[in-house]
Amino acid sequence: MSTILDKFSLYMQYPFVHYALIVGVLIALCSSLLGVTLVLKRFSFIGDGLSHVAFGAMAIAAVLNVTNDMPLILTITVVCAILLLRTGQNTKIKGDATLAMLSVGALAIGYLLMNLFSTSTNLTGDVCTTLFGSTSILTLTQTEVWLCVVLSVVVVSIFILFYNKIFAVTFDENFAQATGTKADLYNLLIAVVVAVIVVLAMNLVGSLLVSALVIFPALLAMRIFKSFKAVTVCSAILSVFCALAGILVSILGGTPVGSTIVAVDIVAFFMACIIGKILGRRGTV
Amino acid sequence: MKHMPKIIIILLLLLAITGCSNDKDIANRVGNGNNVNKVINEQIDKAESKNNSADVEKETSPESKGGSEVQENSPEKYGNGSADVDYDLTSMSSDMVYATVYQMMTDPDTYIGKTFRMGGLYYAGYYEPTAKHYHYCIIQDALACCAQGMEFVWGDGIHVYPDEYPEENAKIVVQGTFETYREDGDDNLYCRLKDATMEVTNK
Repeated sequence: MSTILDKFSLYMQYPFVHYALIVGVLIALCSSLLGVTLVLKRFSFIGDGLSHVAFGAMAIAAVLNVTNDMPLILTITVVCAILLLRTGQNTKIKGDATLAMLSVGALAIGYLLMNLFSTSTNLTGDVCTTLFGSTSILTLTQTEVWLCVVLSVVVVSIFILFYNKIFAVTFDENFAQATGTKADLYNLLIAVVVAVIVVLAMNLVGSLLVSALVIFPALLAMRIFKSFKAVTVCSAILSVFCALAGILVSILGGTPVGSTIVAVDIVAFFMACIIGKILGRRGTV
Repeated sequence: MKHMPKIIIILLLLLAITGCSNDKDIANRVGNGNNVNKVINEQIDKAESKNNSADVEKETSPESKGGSEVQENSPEKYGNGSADVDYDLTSMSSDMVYATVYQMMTDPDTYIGKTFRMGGLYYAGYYEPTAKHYHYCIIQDALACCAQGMEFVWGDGIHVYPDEYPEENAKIVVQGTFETYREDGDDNLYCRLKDATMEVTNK
């Protein structure tokens, strides 16, 4: 035990460990806030789809030799999120089919572009890092950390400011529209925020595991609580706790960061299921 | 009475959890003790076998041997190991090692003049423009998909390649002082560990 504490205190002297913990907490907080809305709107899989789009965008940025690829990735992902969430109901290809098409299409095109035009000598490593996060959370620069802080503050502020509207749109979009709420506008806002979260979360867990950060905290909070507010607050707390635990375990144990965080989320989900059963709660989703 | 089964389940769970934590602590202590003893015994055996086969060792390299002696004195002494050098990467997890080496590459000025000790796989590369062999300690990340190589100069650089160097992919531990340098006619900034000691831990 003392060895682990010694190791922990040694690691805490490194600034990049502080950056990883700060960014990890912020991403977990943001993803869990919107996660509840997405799960209730039956858009759980959108995080996965958008992360694949972000992977494709990253491949384009790599091929174009863009030094700071974040703005490009963010723009492409936001556009795709808007297309998915806003036009999903009015197109000939409906809902989940559009998402699946965009998801695999972006993944395939991204990998193809990287294979054909990449100047990197370690293509496998690049792809692996993008898909699974690897240790990218430990290799963040100060600029990336500040960008993450600013975007997280924006996301949390939007959620707090428009909490009532998001609540209304989440549960009954038609009713919200009938009562004068601009449902389309708020759907657009949710789409943009989700895209921002997905791009941020790619640093933490990689593009294949982003959905876990969105879905698990919301689902495990729903096992224990019933009201929207309680589920959202519990989801945020548990998500931050699981992300912190996952990062610390992976740093101390030398395991891949992304998959360790997801493993902690899975354990927490089953524990929440047991607690929910004991308390007599039944999740609706 | 209605909630009795739930209360019993919660009590049983609490009992199980507290019971587990005690057992785990004891198991860990016993386990650690055995592991330490095992490591010490292995190191003693290794040292004895090295003394017995001194002739074979002499053929390889005197510096390598010197390095291994230092290593054997403090294989599991975490505090002592890190006191000799500024950054002892051999006692870090793979995530931390990869991240530290990444920082050294991206922000070398911070680390110039610091001493490092790191473990990895040996790799040698030949660069035609300078007509020199360069020697690297390759460090992999936790996913084993990304690797970074830290160049090192063994001793004062007089060791003959390949005769005195280990085979490629041999596990090595190197210790040296971090510096940056430029080659003649090349604008790139390179990083390396100078005056390094090298120990082959496993071929």
